[in-house]
Amino acid sequence: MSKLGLSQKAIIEITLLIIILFITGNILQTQISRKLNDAAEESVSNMTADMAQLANERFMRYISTLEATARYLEEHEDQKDNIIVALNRENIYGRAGIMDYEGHTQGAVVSKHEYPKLSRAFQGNSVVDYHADGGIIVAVPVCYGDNVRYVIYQIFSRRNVTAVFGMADYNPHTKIMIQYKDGSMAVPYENFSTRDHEFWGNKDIQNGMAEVHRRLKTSKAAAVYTEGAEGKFFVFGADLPQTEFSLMGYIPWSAVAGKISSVYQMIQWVFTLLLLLFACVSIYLFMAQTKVAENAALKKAREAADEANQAKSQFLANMSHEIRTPINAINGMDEMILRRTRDKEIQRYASNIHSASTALLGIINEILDFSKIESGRMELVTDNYSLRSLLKDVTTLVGFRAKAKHLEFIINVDEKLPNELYGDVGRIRQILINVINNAIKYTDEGSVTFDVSGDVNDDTLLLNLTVTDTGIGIRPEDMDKLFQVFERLDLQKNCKVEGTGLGLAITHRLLTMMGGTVQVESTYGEGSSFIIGLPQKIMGTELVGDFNADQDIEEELLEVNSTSFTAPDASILVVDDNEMNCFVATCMLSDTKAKLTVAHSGTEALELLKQEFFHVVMMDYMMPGMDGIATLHEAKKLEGTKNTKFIILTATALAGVREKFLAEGFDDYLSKPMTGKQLDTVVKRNLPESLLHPVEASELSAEEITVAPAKVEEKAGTGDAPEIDRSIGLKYCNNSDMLYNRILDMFSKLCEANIKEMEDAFGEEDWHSYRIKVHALKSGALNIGCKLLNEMAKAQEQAAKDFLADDAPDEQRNEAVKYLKAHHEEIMTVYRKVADMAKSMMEEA
Amino acid sequence: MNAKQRSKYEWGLLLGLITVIVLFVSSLWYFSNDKDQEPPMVGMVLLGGMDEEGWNAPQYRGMKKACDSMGVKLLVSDHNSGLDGACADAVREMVKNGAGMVFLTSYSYTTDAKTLIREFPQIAFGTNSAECRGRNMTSYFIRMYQGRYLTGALAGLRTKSNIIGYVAAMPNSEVNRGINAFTLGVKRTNPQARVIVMYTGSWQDEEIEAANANRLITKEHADVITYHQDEPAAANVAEELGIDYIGYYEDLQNRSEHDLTSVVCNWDRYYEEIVKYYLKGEMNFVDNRWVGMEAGLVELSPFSDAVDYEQRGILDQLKKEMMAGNFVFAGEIYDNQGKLRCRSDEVIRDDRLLQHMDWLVKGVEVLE
Repeated sequence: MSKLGLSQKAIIEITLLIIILFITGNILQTQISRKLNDAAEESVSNMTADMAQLANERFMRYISTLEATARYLEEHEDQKDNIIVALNRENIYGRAGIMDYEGHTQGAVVSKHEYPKLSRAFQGNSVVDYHADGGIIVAVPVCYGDNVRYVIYQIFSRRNVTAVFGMADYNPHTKIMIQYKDGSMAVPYENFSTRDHEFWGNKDIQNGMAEVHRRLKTSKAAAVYTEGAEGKFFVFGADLPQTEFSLMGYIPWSAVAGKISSVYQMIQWVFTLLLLLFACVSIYLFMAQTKVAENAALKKAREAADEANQAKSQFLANMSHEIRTPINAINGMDEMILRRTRDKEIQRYASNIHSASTALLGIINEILDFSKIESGRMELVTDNYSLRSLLKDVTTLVGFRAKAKHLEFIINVDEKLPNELYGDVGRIRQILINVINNAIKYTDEGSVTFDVSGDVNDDTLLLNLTVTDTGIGIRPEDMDKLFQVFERLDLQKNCKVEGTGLGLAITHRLLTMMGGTVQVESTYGEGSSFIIGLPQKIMGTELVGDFNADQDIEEELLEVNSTSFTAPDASILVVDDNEMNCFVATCMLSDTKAKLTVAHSGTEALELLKQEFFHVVMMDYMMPGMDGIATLHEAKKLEGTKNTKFIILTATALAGVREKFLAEGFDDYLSKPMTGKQLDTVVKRNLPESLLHPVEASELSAEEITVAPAKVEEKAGTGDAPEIDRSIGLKYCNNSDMLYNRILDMFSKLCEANIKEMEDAFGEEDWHSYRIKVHALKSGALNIGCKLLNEMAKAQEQAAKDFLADDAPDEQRNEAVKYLKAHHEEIMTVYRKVADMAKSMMEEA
Repeated sequence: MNAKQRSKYEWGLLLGLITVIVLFVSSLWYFSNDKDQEPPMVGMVLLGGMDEEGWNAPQYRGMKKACDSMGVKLLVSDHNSGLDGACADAVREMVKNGAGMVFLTSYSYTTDAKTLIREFPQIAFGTNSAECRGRNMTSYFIRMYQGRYLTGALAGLRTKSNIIGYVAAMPNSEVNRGINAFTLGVKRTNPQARVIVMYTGSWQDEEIEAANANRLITKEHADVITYHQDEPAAANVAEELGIDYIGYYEDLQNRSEHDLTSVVCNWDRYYEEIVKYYLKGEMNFVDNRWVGMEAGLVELSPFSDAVDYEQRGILDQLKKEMMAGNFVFAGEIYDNQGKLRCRSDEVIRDDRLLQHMDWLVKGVEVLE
């Protein structure tokens, strides 16, 4: 419906309503005035009845006087003349007389024909009669015994009737007259003029009177409201009981309903007000309706926008999944390359791949973070944390970068700061790494300084984190844009700096979420400092203490790429439809020596779970057919999965995903792409303590290098002089010189004892014990970086294995013994030699 | 809001609006029309059946006609003997049903009436028993005696034997008044004639009435018969015997030439007037309503062909005199004991006529 149509329709509706209200109002008005007039008519009618009573009493007064006179006359029949004189004297308006049955009169002369009612007086009744010419006569019988002999009467001529019977004094507004039954006016009111004749002759008044007469047939008195040329009047009438007279009159409407009419006006006024109010309300409602319609349109638009945004979020989530899966493969495979290869060239390539994919992952994570903040789905996960370890984490990570760029990284920590704090440590770490990395990114030479101080206020610590660099600085005009989305400043200068430009925007928003602030001070060309203020709750009294960044970096490095445990008795099931992912996971977990099984679908996994027990099941979420969650629910129903831990692997890294999966019943969560360390940590966390063994240095990666024995044999046959490759050794020691030295020391010290044990076993042909010892030697040799000894030991161990194999034919056993015996002495010699070399290397260090 | 929802919403609104308007208008109508008042109600107690000609049926018809024209509801209890308080019971029932005025239409109810007017002071009573008076009691009667006087004059003109038979119920004021007026009429036209009265002792006893009439005709040689009973038994006998007779209360429709005329009363006009007074609330102001020929209430039914022109002229003249104020009971009147009841210059008062007519005029003989 168009807007115009709506408004036209509304106007028609309102007009209709107003018309209806107007009509009903008019009906109401008519009804009210009718009711008021009815009520007034009734009250006037009652008044008339009273007046009729009054008029009647006037007649009765004369009748009773005459009756008393009649009683006197009955006793003094001869006193007629005197009585007449006395009566005339008493009432000057009337003339008295006495009539006998024959019609002879004494005193006032009247005729029986003029006053037919006189006959009724002769029958013994007191009467009042009227004649248009003679006036009103009042007559009573004079009785002697049972019989009437005379009638005594008083006659009031027309001139005098008003003075005697007039009712004008009843009320100043009211005009009252007395009519005879034939309609002639017996007693007019005072000053009855031609004007009054006109009034009574008026058609409307006559109609009113006709109605009065009609009503008088059944009621004592009646009043009728008339409205016409003469104005508004009530005309009324009442019959005088027992006479042929009626009382008639009129009263102006205003005299009766004057006060009531103000009530009527009031009602009218109120109704008008209501009408106006209604009109106002209608208009208001109409406007509101229009507004609602507009709002609905706006709401629709917003919904559309929301939908688009939702679609964008969905797209981002999908993209993140799609991108993360291949990155996972790249990272995993690359890590395997790094772990396995000894070729320095290849290691460098792999390392470059690693840093590139890490950077790519970082970018994707930033975009994801930003999308989370945009959609309001970013949630803070607060918990107790240690400031010291936070700072350690940060400095460890950024220290490398600084070192790589040959920048000096200085960290100053106020040792009196409280250590135990409460907040979202993950996000704070992210902020700090971001800001410091930024500083490193834009600094080509000089230093990056990280100052940590704070003010304690009650239970809150206002952390002051200042990152100062000696970099390119920021132009004052760019300051405002600094925290804006996708802004990268000074593009010409920075074209070789990588990044999305989201980092500082995310930082700013995260800080705002946490109630913190960030300020920037910068001199263009000289450097900048980012000052972060962040309030954190203090949870304990422990202080940070002396903070040595360098040492911490060393300690941290020990952990890198190390497999912290082995669990040979553990069994792990990897479920993923993606072959590459399975491969990555199994490769990475192979160090744990756990029994690894792979399933390529939920169904397959369930089959396996039915058959055997797994300590840990690592399950991908997105799988064709049954997804991770469905598989989990089915798996939980199976017997024997009570102690199985389920870990979900997913490339969906949006907010709340972790919580969602944990709520579904997973024991842990791992986001792809994962690093070896992450995988390691998660698996370790979920394996029973009893199955975990710490990695012995000698055992490190002992089994990892799977080189064909024949080849080793070949190599062994070359009789190369043994040498210790420090780099290989260091690699197995996580590049820790300290650890490497310790291993070298151990290797040389244990040498003689091991040789003796091996000799004993060799002498006794205890190939089982011999095999274990050779195995240990194989690992130990690799750990210190002696490939020759390692390979020789491996070949020897293989031979021992061949001999020990249950199904080995005698021929094979003989050959194996032959091989063992042939190479034993050689290995022992090389072992001693290498042990000496190790000793000397250690001493050199 | 889509178009469909919107139209639904508007329909609902329209419906609500119409409902409100209908309610409004109907409430206006409701308030402007005064609650239907119960129509006024009057009761009537009849001695005989309401369809019994003579006294009862004209009473009922008259009352019914009056009530219908005034919009008044009528309650009737007929065949009410008045014995064992039957009349009082009927009246109580009527009052309970809302009757505001009750007419007791027989002398037989006099005793009950005296109780009832005290029992129901707010109810207006009307009775034709002049012997009962009260603030709320209107003794209504019609000057039937005017008709009696004229028919008496007719009988005086018609009689050859100068003996006129009169079958009467009982000697009370009403019956005696009728006999006296009749006799005064007879004497007016035929001073030699005598009126022989036989009382039956009952308002309704066909057998005795017939026997009395028969005796008056056959034994006393009456050649004109009239009666004062609730039924025309005497007339029937006269008709059978071929004797002139004058009816009472009921127009006998000139069955034959002997059916000279009847004294009839226009009860409807009479009751209309009384009911009007009742409706106007004036009933209890009125002691008695006694009207007659001057108001057209009493009439003679059309004469039979036996009444000749001259006779009709005489009767007409007498009626005119009466209307001009020459009353029946005026001038010199002696009773049949020879006592002067009215001087020549006197008129007997209405109240005496009504209640104290315990004498019979000169010229009346009562046959035991």
